[in-house]
Amino acid sequence: MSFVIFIKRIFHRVYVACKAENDVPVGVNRTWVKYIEKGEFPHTKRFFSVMRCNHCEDAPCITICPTSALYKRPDGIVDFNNERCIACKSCTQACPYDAIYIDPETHTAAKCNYCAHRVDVGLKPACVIVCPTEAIVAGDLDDPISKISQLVAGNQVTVRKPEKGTIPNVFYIESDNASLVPNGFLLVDKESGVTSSRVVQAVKKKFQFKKRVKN
Amino acid sequence: MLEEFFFGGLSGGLFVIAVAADLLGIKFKQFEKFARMTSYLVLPVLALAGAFIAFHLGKPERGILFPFFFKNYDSWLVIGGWSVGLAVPLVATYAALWYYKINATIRRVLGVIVSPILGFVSFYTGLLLSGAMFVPLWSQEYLPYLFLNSGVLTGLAGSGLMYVLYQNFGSSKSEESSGVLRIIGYAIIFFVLVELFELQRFMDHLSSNPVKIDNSGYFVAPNGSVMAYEYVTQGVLAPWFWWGIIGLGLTIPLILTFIEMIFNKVIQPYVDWISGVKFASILSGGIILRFVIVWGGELKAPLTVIPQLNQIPFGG
Repeated sequence: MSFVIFIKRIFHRVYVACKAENDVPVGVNRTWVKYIEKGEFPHTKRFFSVMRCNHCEDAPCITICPTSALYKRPDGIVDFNNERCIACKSCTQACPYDAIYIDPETHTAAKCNYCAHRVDVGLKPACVIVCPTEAIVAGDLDDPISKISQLVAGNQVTVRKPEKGTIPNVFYIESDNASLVPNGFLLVDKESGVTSSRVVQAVKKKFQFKKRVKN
Repeated sequence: MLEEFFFGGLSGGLFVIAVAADLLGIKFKQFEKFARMTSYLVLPVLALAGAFIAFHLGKPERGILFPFFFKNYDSWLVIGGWSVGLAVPLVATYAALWYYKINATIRRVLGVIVSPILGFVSFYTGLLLSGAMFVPLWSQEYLPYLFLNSGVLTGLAGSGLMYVLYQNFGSSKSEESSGVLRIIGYAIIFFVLVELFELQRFMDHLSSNPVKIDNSGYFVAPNGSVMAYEYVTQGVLAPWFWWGIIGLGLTIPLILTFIEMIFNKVIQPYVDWISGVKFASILSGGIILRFVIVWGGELKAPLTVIPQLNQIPFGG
């Protein structure tokens, strides 16, 4: 299961929907909406970017979790079981996206789990349902006729920190470094000579390769 | 977190030193008292490390019942947890064999067999951190060896300090103590030099901006190691690194050991005090080493701000 996020359509309410749906306590977030202001006054625009668990194919949080409280479901969702979590905080260090937090009420690790409880009964995640502009599209990339597959195939998409090799499953459309990196740093180091577009091409190539293998 | 790394490493070092002294005691009887006393120290220090690990967890009760919860054997925390769990009864048996003076041969054989497990406890504290592979400072290549060496060095210092205190306050002072302290001094010079060498190699590695090709082979990604190097040696952690680890933890003990050896006759009346300061200095350096490594791990590559710490503006 994957997400596609349209940067220029996103609204702040996805964050509120996520908080309400999952009873996320004050001070922590499963979905964090970054505000990006561009241009010079009076010609300014504000965009929003959504940062969350990337439900990586090769998720380092699953590898490091001693109790297997973090696990990958057969449908690809990286879910967690707070009945097993000992809150050793290894996963918070292992995640390159800083997407995992310790819930101040349960004292266990938590993160976006793709609203697995909704998916199990055939519903879409809360952030998808609430967004009036359909800025977030959720679905199965293994299904070639799904909307998300067509969006990923037909658009210039990017992912966060592709160089980490985790194969993230949250794809961004119309994004730039300011919207992908929390403090707006460059996606990759200048010294390596790897530009953003090359990174994206490589991710897409890799993704297509994986799909061919599956087929 | 640094407390469990310090006490875990220290317990491993203490046990290895206790067994080494026990073996030396076959030929040099003056080591027997030192070995016995050190063997009694291991279990409380290991228990302290376990207590700190438990308090660090959000769910300590599940950590204590780890055999029921630890399932992922790819995780170093599981492997380390089992090694600590295995070490506790073995260390207790070893100390009991000393206490009841049952059979020296069985005790020594047990000590030699168990030493690698306790050595691994020191070693694994480095492996545990390097499991978070996107933290540039937590290098799997260097940290485990650095922590193992530091564990043995702090083990020497911990046992030496207890020995000096025991000699001065616990019983009548024996003439044999200077011989034991001299051998500890030689060992300290060796392990201090090894640690300085390891630190120099580690920092060289970080400052050389190593690039690595990721699993896919597509990306040559800088891992932020230069940032980590600057953070530790020139940034916020620099005073702790230079004054704490290099100065207090390694250079001062080295100088004091040389003073003890060169001016042996002149300083004889104060030798226990000088040794005490040296051992305390090494222990402080060991704690500071863990402090620098743990807090240096705040820096990920590339440097990002944790989203949860960013303030979301109102309105808009």
